[in-house]
Amino acid sequence: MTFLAPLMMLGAAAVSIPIALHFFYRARYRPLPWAPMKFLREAIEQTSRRLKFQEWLLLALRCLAILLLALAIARPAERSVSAAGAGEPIDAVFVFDTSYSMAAPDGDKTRLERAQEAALAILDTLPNRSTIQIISCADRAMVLGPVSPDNRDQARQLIHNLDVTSLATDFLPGLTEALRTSEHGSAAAKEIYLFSDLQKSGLERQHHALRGLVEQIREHQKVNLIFIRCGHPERKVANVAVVDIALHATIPHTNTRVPFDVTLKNTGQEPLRGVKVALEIDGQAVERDAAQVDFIDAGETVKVTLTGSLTQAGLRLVSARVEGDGIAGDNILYRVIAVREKVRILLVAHPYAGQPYTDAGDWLVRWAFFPFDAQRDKEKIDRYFIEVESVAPKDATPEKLTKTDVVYLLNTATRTTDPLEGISPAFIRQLKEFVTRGGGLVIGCGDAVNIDGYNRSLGADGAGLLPLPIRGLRQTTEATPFTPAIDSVVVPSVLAPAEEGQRQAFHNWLRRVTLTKMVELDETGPGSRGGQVLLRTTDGLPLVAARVVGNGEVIFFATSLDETWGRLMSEGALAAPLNMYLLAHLTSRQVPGGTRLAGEVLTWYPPQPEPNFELILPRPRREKAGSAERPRLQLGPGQWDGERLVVRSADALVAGEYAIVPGGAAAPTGLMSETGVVFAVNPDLRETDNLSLASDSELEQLLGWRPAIIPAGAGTESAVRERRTQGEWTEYVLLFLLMLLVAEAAWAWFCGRAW
Amino acid sequence: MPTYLQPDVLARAEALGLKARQVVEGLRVGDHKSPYKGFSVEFVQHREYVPGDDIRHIDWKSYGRSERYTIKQYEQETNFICHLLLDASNSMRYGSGATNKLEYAKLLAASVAYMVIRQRDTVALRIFNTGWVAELPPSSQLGHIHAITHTLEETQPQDRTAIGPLLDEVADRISRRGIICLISDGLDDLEPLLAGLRHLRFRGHEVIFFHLLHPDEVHFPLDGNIRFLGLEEHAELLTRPHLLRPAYLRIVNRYLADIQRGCDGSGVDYVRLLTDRPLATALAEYLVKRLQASKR
Repeated sequence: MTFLAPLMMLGAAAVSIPIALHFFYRARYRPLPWAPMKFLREAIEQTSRRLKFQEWLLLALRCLAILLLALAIARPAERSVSAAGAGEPIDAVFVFDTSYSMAAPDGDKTRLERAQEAALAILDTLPNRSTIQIISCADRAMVLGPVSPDNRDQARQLIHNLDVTSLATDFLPGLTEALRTSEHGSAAAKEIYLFSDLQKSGLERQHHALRGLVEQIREHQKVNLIFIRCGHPERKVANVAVVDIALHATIPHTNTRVPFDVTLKNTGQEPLRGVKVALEIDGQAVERDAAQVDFIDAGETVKVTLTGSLTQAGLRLVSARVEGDGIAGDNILYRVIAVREKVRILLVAHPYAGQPYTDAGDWLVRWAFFPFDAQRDKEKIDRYFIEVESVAPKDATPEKLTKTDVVYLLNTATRTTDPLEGISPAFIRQLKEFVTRGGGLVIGCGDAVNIDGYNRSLGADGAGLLPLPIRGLRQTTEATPFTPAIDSVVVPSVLAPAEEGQRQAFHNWLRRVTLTKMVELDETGPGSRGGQVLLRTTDGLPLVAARVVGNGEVIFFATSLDETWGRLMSEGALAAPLNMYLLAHLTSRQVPGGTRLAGEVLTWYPPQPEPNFELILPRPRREKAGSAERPRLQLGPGQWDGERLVVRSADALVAGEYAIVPGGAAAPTGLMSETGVVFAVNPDLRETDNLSLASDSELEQLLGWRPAIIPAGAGTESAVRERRTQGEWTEYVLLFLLMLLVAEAAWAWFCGRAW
Repeated sequence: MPTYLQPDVLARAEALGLKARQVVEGLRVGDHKSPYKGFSVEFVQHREYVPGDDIRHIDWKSYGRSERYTIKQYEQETNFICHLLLDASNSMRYGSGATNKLEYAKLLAASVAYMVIRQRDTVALRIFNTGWVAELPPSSQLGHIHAITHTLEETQPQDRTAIGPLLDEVADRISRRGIICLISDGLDDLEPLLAGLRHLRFRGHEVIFFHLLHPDEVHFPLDGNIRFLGLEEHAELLTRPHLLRPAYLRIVNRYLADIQRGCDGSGVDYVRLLTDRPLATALAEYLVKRLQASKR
């Protein structure tokens, strides 16, 4: 309970009046000499208990009457009722859910439009001298203004300009910011309005924290939290989302048509028919590759394979778009791919040493990349998009890494005392830089691998490239070989192709691998942190491990990639896909900028300092392409992160193409930017993964309290006005007071007295 | 004229007179019946002659008719002694002015005394509280009224009431049957009071109990916050009397009814007098009733 005029409660002190009168009159007794005291005493004995009861009851009734009077003029009200009922100024905070489910249609309008209308209506109900603050909220909150909190015109303009983001709903940050903002106000009454479709996922995401916050708002004196429901909970929304675009385990390169697996999911509550899905590359529709999905049931996931022709090398923006549903925010999904003319692989292999050349690791790997006959198709090999260069460890110079995409260290020793043996420390240093920049490194073991040298040079104390420290050697017989445990393959990983058929075939071949010798990796010791085991043997020994280093990644095989320690690469049906998967995986990391999720921080390490950097935003949805310059945000000169200059922006809230460029630089055309970096930002698909809206009872259950919920619509304004006075108990208190006074009078009459 | 002799009271009382309703024993011939049968003018009865009787009283006419010796008896008429017993305890202090119980009692006592003396009967006065405060011997001299009024004027209320033992004492001390007028508010233990009255009646006295009460004590019209101070006891009661009125009236009425019943049962003439009523009227009314009753 709260009081709209709490000072009036001081009137309760008047309760002392009847008490004082009571004792005052008790003290003022008129003396009277009296003869028949015996009769009097007897009469008192007979009546005193009843008289005392009557007297105290009367006193209690009168005290209660005064208390009630004070209570009535103090205007008691429910805690949820603000002093606004009395026409006092209000510090109002409007929190708008700007997740993209708010773009869903609700009748002839969208939910956001309903929220805007309701907000404008409520704005008009605020008493004079009220203040208003507007906060947009999805999975983060942003105070939009107005700069002058009492300027309603500014507030109206801000409400009018509201637009949805590509973020998912989470009410916690918005309400947290709202509470903080409301605390700054000085008005006696404070109201927080949350305009939202009340999507269940937004309530459940940080359920416990949200519940605690709502409790805090409730307990916070005079803050009235009102939910404005924008969207009928029973109204079903048809929605299909593009949830993934995946390459068919290939390395995109020029002059090829690349198959893309586009995954669609019907996240709505109704089946959808005739859903058109189209592929776009660099914003241009691929005419021949549009498909129509005849039927997607509610909750069903459908995969559509579309092919796109890649003509130009460089970063390409691939997007899949669907049409014909209710929520547009998840109808497009971007993926940035790096299209190459050539993929260059450097094989650093221990020189052939008396073994058949076909047993050498570099030979096996080399030919795993080429689907041609080595002797007959030399020309094809020369024109092929994969270029392989083999060097002996002693010839591996840092310069070799400048035009290389992936490096294989095959049975390669690190340099010890012999300057003609092993890879040099300079190469290793450059190799680290290479991987950090985004290069791929594959390490295969062998007899030439000196374990101590590897741990020292490539381990955590050296270049930090080893996924896990090497503990020692393990050997077995051919009769009881080490074999991979397929069920230990980490999914998703480079060893688990996304496509089911490919994965089955690959794993079938992987099962046939037999090994007689392995290095044993230490999963728990120093230097193991950050390493991940992708595959184990049936004995539980790590067989393949990986470590992400900077923008690149290292894949480590705990056995040899030739035939000296077993049969891994010697089986072409296994070696070819394995190496292609490795290559596809490792080269796909080399995408500067790249694909991001809405709300993620966009980070760029510019090559040189600039006085100012700018974030180029996607063109607003309401504007036609090419109609105007894309909007820009000033990011300042960036910050130094150690020796590197870094520019960050957390303003990518809407799905689309972003670019960070030096101030004043031209906007990139397509994804190619000569001066900056380009990002493709996707919507947060958590938003439409569960479109269920919380009913009033569910909201009560989730919050542990029944909040005020007012539907956005024609009656919002009057409902809010009623709400402000509905919980006031003054009338009831006065009615009760009247009844009490009647009772007091009746009782006084009954007692045959009146003071 | 002394204070307690008011002409209007005396005039009406004197006109009505106080006749002994039953036999009284006096020292001289008067207007009232004597228990002693004698040879006066009022024939009463015949009885058989027994040896020793004065033969002068033989009714010869009767002997002529019945040839039996009979003696003719006559009733002796005598005066009476009226014993006024006046309660002068503190409880009689209640009331102001004419309604003061003691003042009213004094007026009543003086009026009765005057009336009795004027009809040549004898009056004795005894004033009491817990014991005898003043006593005036019986006298029928007109000047005795002055002694009575003087004594009354001198009397001040004090101490408590203890009527019962005093009535017993009176009954024992007064050998001649007469009229006992008890003037009191009767605020004493009821049982000893009634026992004393019964004792007096047993001794053959005609007893009149003038029960004086202040109207406040009977109707209890008091209001407001009152600290009741006991007139005969060191007690103090704080209360709002209007809240007690029903219970008080119930108790008082029961008490009055008990007294009335007790007096009626033992042949005591019970006269309740409220001090707000003019004494002349109240006394005249009683005397008229008394006259009517004696004629019946």
